[in-house]
Amino acid sequence: MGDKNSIKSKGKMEQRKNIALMKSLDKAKNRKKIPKSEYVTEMKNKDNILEIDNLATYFFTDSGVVKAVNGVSFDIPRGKTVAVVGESGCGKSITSMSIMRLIQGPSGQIVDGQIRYNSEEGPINLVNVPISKMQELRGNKISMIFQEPMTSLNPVFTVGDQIDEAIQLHNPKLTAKQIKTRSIEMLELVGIARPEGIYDAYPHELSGGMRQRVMIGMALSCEPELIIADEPTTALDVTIQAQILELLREIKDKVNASILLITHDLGVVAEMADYVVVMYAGRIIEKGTAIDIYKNPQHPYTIGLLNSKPAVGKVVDKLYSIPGQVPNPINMPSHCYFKDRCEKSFEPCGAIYFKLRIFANTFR
Amino acid sequence: MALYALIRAMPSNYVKQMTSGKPGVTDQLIEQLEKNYGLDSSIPEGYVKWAGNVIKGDFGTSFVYKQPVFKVINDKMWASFWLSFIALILELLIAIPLGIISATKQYSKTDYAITTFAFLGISLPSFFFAALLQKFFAMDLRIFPLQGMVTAREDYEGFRLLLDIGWHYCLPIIVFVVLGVGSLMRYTRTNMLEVLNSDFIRTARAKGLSEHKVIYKHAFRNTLIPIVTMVGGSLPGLFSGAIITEGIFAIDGLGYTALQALKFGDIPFLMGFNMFLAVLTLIGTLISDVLYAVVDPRVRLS
Repeated sequence: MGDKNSIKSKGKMEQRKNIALMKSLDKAKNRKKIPKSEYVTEMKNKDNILEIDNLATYFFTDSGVVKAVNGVSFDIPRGKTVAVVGESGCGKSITSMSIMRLIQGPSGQIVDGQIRYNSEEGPINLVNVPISKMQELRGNKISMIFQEPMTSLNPVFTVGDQIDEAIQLHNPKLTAKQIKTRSIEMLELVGIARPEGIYDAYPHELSGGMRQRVMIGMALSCEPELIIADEPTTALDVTIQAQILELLREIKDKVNASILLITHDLGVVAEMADYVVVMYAGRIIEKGTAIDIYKNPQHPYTIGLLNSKPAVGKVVDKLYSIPGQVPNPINMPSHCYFKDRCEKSFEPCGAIYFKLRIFANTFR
Repeated sequence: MALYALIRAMPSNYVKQMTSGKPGVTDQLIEQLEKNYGLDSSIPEGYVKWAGNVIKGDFGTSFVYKQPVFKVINDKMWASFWLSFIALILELLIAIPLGIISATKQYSKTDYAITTFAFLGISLPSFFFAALLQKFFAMDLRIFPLQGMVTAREDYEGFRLLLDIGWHYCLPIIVFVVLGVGSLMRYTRTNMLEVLNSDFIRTARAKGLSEHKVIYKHAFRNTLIPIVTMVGGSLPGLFSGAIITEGIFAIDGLGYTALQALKFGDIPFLMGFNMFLAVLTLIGTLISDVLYAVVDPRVRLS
């Protein structure tokens, strides 16, 4: 009896500690004035637009702490496409939301790490930047395309209004007429026929593919340096997918932007990405250039992931799937998270999570 | 029909009410009177007769007021209407901002405080709260009059009269507002929370809009949709009056009149009154449908 009670009280203490941590983080985030010294940093490499270093984003829930992103580090070089792949719930979307600082507080908090952004006025750490500064960057220098085009546009405003709003916000000097011209230009750019007509349409009058094009147009309207595309093609059918990807690539080259592409579709990755980051259960398990990952995958999870992709010209009875499921994010084991599902698990896997091994300069 | 049967089936009728306790009334006279008021026929017969007249546009004459039913309704309606209308406006002005604040600061101390206040309002019985107000403001502090609509023996005219009525309306309006604000506020809060969790709000934030703009432009327009529907539907309530509150403050409105009519078995008035409410309900639904199209482009027909 006594033992049980002490475990219970220990759990309670831990929970209280977590809530206190959550509150202190939330408070720090919502301070009115944050001194500049807190968020000015140095880039490791001047050619990178974004460097994510040991990022940890947790959700403090009633049943425990969910470590959605746990020590993720990777770089996004200027003008390149970096793809983050992994199955559902591995933390890829949360990583992107962390960059945008769109994690829903107070339960979701960035607990640790740095997101260094190479802005025009010098490198800054997005984790500590005040929200007002963040609002200047969002939609302007860093913009995001979401995975649900059907619900991501506000149903009560016209498409034109919504694009205008973004342009006007970041270019306050433009006149209403100039803004409208620019919006129509954007709609044209993303391949919408009859842009003047669509400008006055409401989102419900458009198809999913059209809405996603509008979303992309909106995201690109201020010529961002970094485009975060969070599964931009998941909700669309295959023909539209190809068009959208083609569009993204074209636009990227046109404005020399970097793309952070979040997806679980390895076909998309092969087509688009320069670098690939493979995530599993909130951690990076393998990262390298796209060629390295495809030609010579090292981690058993990556191999499994590649095997579970249907290939043209190969007849199989049953598509390969990785056995088992992602472990419960609450109370993660301290050993390799993939151990229980791994075909190659051996004795040392039970030990503490090992460090990244460097296979090549660009490949870890 | 059912209504007519129910009213007719009440143990007493208007003639009996009128004649009871008066010694000089003979049975013959009662019979004669019942015939005059059309109370001698059977229930279906009476209903058919009444309905026949309604089709011809004749709602009959109120027994108690000796005037055509619609004239009575028209006379009494405005007192109730202004009372409820002002209260509704105040309710909206208070409830919607409070609902929004409480939704944007969900689970904060402000949210809990507002919610507590709202539930307090919802759970207070109107007669009890009205009596409390009367005790404090009318009896003890003597700021507001106890009841009635105008000050007796002061024949105010024009603007002074309006002021006087306004002064008398204060307490009943407070009762309405405090009792009504809670549910409206909770309704706003629920809707706002739902909207704030939607994807397009995330898009709005990702655009770089300030939190203020996100809430008051993008979220608010969407929260408005269900609220407008609800307010449109409350139109009949504006005219029908509130029986209890009007009774306590002796305000000569429709609610009070309807209660009197029920007491005396004033069949034509009650039937006309219910007809009136039915029509208002239809108009209310129509108005809310029209407003719905105004705030929500998805239901607009091109």
